[in-house]
Amino acid sequence: MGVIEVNEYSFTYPASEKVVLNHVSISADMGEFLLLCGKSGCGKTTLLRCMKPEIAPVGSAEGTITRLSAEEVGFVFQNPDNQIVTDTVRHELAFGLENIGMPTGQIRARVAETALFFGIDEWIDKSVHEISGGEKQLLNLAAVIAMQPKILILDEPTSQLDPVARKNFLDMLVRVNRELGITVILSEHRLEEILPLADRVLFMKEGRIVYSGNVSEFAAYIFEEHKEYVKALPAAARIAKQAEIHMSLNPVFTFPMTVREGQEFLMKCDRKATDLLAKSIVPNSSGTGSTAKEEDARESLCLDVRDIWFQYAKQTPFVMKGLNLQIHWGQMHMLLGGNGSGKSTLLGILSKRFFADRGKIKLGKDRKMPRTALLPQNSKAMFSRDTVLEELESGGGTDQRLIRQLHLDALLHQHPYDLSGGEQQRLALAMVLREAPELLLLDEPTKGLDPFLKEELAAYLKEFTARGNTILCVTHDVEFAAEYGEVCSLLFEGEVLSTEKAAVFFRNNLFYTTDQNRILTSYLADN
Amino acid sequence: MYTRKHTIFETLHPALLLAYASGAPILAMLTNHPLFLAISFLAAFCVQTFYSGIRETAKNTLFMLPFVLVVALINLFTNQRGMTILFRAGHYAYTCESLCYGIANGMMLLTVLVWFRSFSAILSNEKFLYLFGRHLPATALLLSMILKLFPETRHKIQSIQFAQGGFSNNPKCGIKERLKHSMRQISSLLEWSMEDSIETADSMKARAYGKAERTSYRSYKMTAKDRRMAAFFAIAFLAVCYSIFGGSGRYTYFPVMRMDHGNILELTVSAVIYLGFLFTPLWMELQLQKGGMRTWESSK
Repeated sequence: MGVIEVNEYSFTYPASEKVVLNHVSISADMGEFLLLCGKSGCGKTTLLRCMKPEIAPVGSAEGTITRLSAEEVGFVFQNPDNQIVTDTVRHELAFGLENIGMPTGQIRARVAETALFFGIDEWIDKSVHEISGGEKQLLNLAAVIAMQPKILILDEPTSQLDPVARKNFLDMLVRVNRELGITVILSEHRLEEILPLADRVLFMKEGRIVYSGNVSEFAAYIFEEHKEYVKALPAAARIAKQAEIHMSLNPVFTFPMTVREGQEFLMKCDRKATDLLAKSIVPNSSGTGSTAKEEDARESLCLDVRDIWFQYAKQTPFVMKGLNLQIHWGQMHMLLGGNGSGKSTLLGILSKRFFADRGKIKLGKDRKMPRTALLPQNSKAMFSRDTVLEELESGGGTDQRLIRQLHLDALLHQHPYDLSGGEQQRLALAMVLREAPELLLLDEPTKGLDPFLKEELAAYLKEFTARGNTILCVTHDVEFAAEYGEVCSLLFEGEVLSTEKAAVFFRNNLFYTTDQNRILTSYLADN
Repeated sequence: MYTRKHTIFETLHPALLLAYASGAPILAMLTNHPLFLAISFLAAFCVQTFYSGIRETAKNTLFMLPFVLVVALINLFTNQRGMTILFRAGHYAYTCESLCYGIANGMMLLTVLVWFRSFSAILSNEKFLYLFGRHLPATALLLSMILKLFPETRHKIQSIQFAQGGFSNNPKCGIKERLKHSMRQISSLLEWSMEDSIETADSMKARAYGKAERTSYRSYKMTAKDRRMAAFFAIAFLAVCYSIFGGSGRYTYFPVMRMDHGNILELTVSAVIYLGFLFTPLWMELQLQKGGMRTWESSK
């Protein structure tokens, strides 16, 4: 008997033919860690919400779900900001307890305990807008756990967080699961870190649960049945699969999940074959690149940012501290760096929203000022009209080809807010592209996108640069940068510390690199 | 602006802090006895210095000083009462009493303003809300949510301006164009805020909002020390009021300036009590610094 049981549950939204959930059955045991994955729009969010009666969507439903009270089911949403209700960390922790009418003394004790468990006690007196996004999401988790739920449901809780904050959050989630014995049901796109943590994986496709079982066999299942989802698997599993194919090993059933397991897997393989494999997976990783093309580089220079200093207001710390950066025509330039390293500010300066206090931005040899457009991090900030069509027509009409290319033609009469995250981003992209920019500035374009949407976006951006345009993309997403970037720069504390070709950049970096490079690094270095 | 935090005075019950923070300016308003005015002004100045630093206080006080002069001059030129004539102009006589009365009124105004400047330092917003929202948990929650909304909205406005900045920075745009653009930004802000508030509402429902009668996690207990201080405040308040209304503390400016019932002893006692009351935050802090063997007490 599970803590929560979903029995042959089907769901359809009103005024819609589409069956969102189709005879779904799940049973979660006490203390189990369940991972729910699948393509965007496969019904994950609907299923999770149906398990929580207070926020269940309205529509026609069949089948049964164990009915639990609000305290028994905790729910953590995607957006860290929007689910915070009150203005201080302390009050937020107490909010749920106040709602269930707990006496003051008990609330205070419970808040204290929760804060200590989550390590929130150091910033408990802060106001909620002084803390970072990662801390906000931890606070949301803590506020839910304070109510002592039996089961915790999380709907893509880390999709808006940067990699470090994501790992922190997941570590804490594991503690909640292992130490408090709370059942966890989590939906996620990035399986890299989560798969090794889960007890059981549920894979959804078009409203059905098509796989439910063991984590290590899950990889084998995906390789067999859903080739299009392979990208979402951990690098270790993908490398193992490659090894299996190229070295004609015996079929692998239990795939490695973590970097360490991946390394152990390769240790058992033939050394020479592995070297070759590593080189085929990580292409053109030899050579240092830049010096030979010095002359060429000067020709293709688009912008030369020299020694930029910038502060938002007098007497506040400098955000840019003597930043140097060269952007070349036709390249996809990735800019990586931690929170507060000044990535977004740099985009602001390049798009003339801010002006530098010191330094120069020089044009390339062709003395051509690039037409610049910026795609902001949050597409919602761009929308102000009632339909997609109006939005697109507002700035003097958009080219039909572009609309088709970005798959917006079917959505023209919808409200921008009714679109999904990926669709909203494509709309915003279409809006900035109508000015035919030559230099496109992107701020965290992969935030909250699943692997398919990411690939779609990347394909479009590739085509955009192939036409001779330039992209400067700020991102936290190391895997994305490694796969699609041509040049990568590392920004730290308002300075660019290194700029290299993508392959070289990730091979040279020890920690700031992809899991794939971490696993293969010893095989790549030997020449 | 710097505000002194973590004072021993703020450990008192919020009701006492409110009594002090509003009692001091009220008492200042009740009297124009030069001695009481001087005491209150001195205390107001010292307390603000204690909380905000000498530089801030001096700057504020100097800034307001001209108002005292203006009040004094207006009184001098409009009020003909009084015996001691300073000078004459035409049919009118300008008296020393009238000038002094004006200065006294101006000082009273200044003192009250200085007191109110320290008000939020003495009684934080949170405690203010606690005092008035304790019996209305829904109101307290509403206020807390509104306080969260301000910085959030500011952030949204910045994001919208940043995102749409590319279109608006065009200097070719006329005023009409720009106005239209601003309207668009406001509409963006409204839509975005409403969209986000749906999620907030879900989050509230998910955490059992509306399931039971709300309670509050904040609590300040009235301790024995609080009660003793409350008694002291009450006695001080009554004593000063008695003195002001009952006799020794009355002062008349017209026709000649004099104290009404010149009982010097009574006046001195009430002045000392007044000083003791107004300087509470300071002497409590000093007492703390002396350290305390006083903490140790044999049980009775």
